[in-house]
Amino acid sequence: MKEPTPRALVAALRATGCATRFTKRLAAGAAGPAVAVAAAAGMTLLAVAQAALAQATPPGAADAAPVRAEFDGRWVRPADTLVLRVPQRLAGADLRFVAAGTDVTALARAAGPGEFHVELRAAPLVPGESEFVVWRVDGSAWEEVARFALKVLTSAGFEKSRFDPKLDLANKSTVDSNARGSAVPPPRPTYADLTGRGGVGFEFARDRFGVEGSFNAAGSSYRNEALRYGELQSRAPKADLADYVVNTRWRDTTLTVGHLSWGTHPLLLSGYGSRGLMLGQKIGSRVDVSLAAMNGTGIVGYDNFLGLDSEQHRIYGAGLGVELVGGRPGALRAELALMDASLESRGNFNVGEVTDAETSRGLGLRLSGSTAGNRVRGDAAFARSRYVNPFDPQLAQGGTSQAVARTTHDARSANLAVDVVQGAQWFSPAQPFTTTLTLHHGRFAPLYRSIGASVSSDQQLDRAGLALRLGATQLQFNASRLEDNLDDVPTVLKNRTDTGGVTLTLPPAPWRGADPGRTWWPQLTLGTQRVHQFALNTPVIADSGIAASHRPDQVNRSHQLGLAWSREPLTLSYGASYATQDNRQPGRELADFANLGHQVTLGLRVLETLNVSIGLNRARNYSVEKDLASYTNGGTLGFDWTWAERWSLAANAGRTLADDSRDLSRTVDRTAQAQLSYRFSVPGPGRRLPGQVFVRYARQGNDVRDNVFGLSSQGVNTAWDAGLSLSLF
Amino acid sequence: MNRRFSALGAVLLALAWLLAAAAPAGAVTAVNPFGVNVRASGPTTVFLTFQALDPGETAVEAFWCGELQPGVLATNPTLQLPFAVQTADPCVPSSVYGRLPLRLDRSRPSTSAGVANFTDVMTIPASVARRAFQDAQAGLNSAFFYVRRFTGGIGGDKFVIVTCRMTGGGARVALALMNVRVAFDGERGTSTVLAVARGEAPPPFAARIQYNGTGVLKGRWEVLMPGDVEPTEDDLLTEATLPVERRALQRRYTLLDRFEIFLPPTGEAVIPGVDPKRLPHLADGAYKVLLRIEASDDKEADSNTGGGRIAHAGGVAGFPMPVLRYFVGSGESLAALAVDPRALQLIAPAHDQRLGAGDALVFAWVQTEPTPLARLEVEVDGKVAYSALVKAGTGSYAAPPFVRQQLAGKRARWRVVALDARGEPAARSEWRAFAVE
Repeated sequence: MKEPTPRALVAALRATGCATRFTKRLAAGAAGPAVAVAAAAGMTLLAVAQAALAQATPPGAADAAPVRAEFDGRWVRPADTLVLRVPQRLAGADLRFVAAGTDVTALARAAGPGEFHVELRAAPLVPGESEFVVWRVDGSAWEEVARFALKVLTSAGFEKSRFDPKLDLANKSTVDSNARGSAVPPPRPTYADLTGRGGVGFEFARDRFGVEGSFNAAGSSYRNEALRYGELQSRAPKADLADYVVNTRWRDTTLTVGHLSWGTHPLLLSGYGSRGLMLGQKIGSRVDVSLAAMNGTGIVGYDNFLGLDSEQHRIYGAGLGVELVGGRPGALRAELALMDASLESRGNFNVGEVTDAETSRGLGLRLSGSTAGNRVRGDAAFARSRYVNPFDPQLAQGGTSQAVARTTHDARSANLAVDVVQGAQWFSPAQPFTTTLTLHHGRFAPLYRSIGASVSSDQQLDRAGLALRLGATQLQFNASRLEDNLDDVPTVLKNRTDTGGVTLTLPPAPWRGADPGRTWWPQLTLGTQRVHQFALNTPVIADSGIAASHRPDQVNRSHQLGLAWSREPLTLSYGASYATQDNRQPGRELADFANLGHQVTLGLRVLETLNVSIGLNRARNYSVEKDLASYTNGGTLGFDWTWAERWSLAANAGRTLADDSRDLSRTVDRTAQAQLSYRFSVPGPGRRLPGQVFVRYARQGNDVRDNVFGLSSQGVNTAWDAGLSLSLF
Repeated sequence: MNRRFSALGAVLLALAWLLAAAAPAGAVTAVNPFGVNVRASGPTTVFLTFQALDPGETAVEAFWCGELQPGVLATNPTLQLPFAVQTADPCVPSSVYGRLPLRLDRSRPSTSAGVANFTDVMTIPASVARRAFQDAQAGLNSAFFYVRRFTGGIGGDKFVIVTCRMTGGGARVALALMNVRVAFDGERGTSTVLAVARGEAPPPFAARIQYNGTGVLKGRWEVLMPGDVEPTEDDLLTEATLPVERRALQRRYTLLDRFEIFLPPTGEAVIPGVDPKRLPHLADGAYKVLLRIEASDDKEADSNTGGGRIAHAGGVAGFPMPVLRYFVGSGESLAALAVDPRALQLIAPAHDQRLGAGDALVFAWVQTEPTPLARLEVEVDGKVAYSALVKAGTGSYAAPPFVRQQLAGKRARWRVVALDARGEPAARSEWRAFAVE
């Protein structure tokens, strides 16, 4: 008989386990007669394996044998019993078992010689993938003996399974309010509103199928607080869908519905966030394709659920990515992007912007790559976009207006980063030295515009940077040149902007061996920047209205200093900034200013349950032309104190004084509020429901005196608020 | 179309137009500024004051055009002076680029030192600038005009003209906000209403802005708390978008911090938010973080309201500032309330104890109501760093050396959770802080 190899022995052992379980099922009648033959084969295999093991294992070989875990590489249920077999050399050793970062030794029992059962039923493990580590303890020393992959199914039998509903309801009310002086009285002196936020998050995965997602809604009984009040006013639903996303995966195909962010082309369609559909497909290991259809702008609300209701307000995109070098993703990747979009003049939800009706259709190419070790990396992109502003009834308002001509223009950009020195251990192994050179070029034709990318048209930007890093210490230089009016239209001003700057960042303990948590050495940031913007052409005044004083020639300098200390229980930071403006064009030579600002913030953990914060700021702005200095001085003081498990008190106050050297105006703002809250729980279905009650006093006042306009006002608003909240899930 | 014409013709036309169209005294008399630099490749916003309106005189429409009637243009051929107020439409009808959309119309009557003015916020959409640029590319005069029509005053309708000169949008352009996005950082920042567990600080946040001009941007971060009065649209506008006398009436909320940052003439900037730990997160309910922009002294944005009274309008914007929403509610810390903390008393390490290099890291506690198991939990930075299941009656656990190494130099906290026969929490202790050197 041929002597079995160790691999064969292990296989035989595993087969033994399998056959044993199979036999048990057979005995319990779980398997049908059709598998009886297989059972017999299993028994035979068991017998052969056991015989082989007995014959192949020489005396004493068990000492060198490894710890074996039945669950290694398999999915187990959270309350399963984990079976471990340890070799004879570990008999009598003090063994400890750590599963997923939890010492579960208390759940283990010896089930026989060299066999341990860890019974998770008493404390089920958290589903997911982690590790199971066996330690041998000798006194205070822990020695790792074995390590296994631990894969825990959910209670429902999925590899991943999660269903998290949440519903928070809160009553808030103003029980008393007062407006004195010129203060604007509140629209509702007293009121009681109900607000709420609910949602559900879920995730299920097994084998190659998975689905995950979330739905979130928010509401208020007071319509002015509804999510879409700004858009719909009195028609805004009081409870509304805030956002949702459902992502389904089957093998290499993904389908995403809801709020998504799509596009990787910086000039055509880049990270466009909206509601819609996206289908992605991987083809082999080197090709991926994706298609997307999205609403033209970010929206909320349960109507227009898919985001595709309006054909005039929709974005279609398609992308193809190919890894040109196999074996190393990202080595050299080519991407093709296509976009066809049409927008009505509607804004994104909760974004301040100036909108237009637009349509654009474009094609983009992008090539990105890096060398092995990432020493050289970069990307180049090109896009061609056909764009027009269609007829916009909001702009025409029933009249006629000149049409915008449809145009097709190009844009290009390229980035290159080279680690001239990469991770050199010249000074210390703990503080590698790296020098990185970065170059950027971008040229965006006049009138180039793509709906899906935030690109400023009609300009060329060239930028270079050099960063020197020693551990966390960094010194960075940068310089750029920006030119506009690329077609040199003679009646439009052409400007150039030269920018140069240096930034230094020093970590709290720049020297070797210092403990960042113990030193009083602050983190330091220092930056300086110079910007010079000036006109390059002189348009004829009669053809442009541009006179000499309208042509910019301005130099700005700005400097920043930041110091930050972080040492328990204290955090302290100081920031200073100084900026100057030097105008040089005729007639504006004195339109200059200097601005100096200081800011200090202090956070102090007085007790584990008591935090205090203090903020101070001062700014001085000096106008050379007016010989006027304007000042703003302010401060805030606040604390939060959870003095008992259920009680907390939080309060803060702020004061700001703005005035000037000629007493032209003076404004004082004061705010203060204090809030006491108590947490409780009430019996609910199956468990207790946590809740909270609070009472708050708020006071806000301001004094304004404007001697230029002859305005003077003094007002104070006060209010007593109270609220009750309950978390139902 | 070329706008050049003979000098003689111009003079004649100008005289005729002046006789026919110059406004009588008493109606709206002027606008300030009467000429502005605008961005050629994007939107522009400028604060304007139309001065000295008649009682009953109201603004009815506003529009842009690329070409003025020759007679009007002849009165000011270099566009360096204010145009006289006209009584007839001064624009060549075919050159109208568009009308001020209602959604961008922030105009309103204003009174300055007893004089009735009309404050306007001229927001030029990018499509209007695009029309003007295409005309300039075709060889026409690059300047275009904003015209406000007033009605109801003495002498009938009046038309007031503002000259817009096409430039790069940086220096010599009024400091104005063109695009503002406020968001929390990271993936959670994509939520419309960020859910925050009670006691958990929200993630960092910032405002990303695109702007015209250059100068100092002043403002403050405020927070609207449960129970506060909801801000109106006027409250959410930047201060410079309002007439001077209405600025002090904007409602204030709890101040988080102030900022005053210099914006170079490069068009994009990030206004960092405050330390997120300073955001209220202990009391349940809906919160809103507000970005309040104050009017700054920017010479390009100044507007003379009459009599030399200058309204500073640096930081004007044609739209309300977005708000950042978050909701403090259910979370692990709230669920913990469902069990009684008095059933477990922690002994060692003591509160805020600092363990030296030679001290053993041994956790000890007393459980008054025994359960089959207890779970010791050790957290660093809000995340479980290690845990251990301990049998009933044990009441102590010596941490392995690797846990000690993991905690070295950090501030940690620990607690004990008693588990019932099903492995469900039956009681939790309070958290207790400690540090390991």
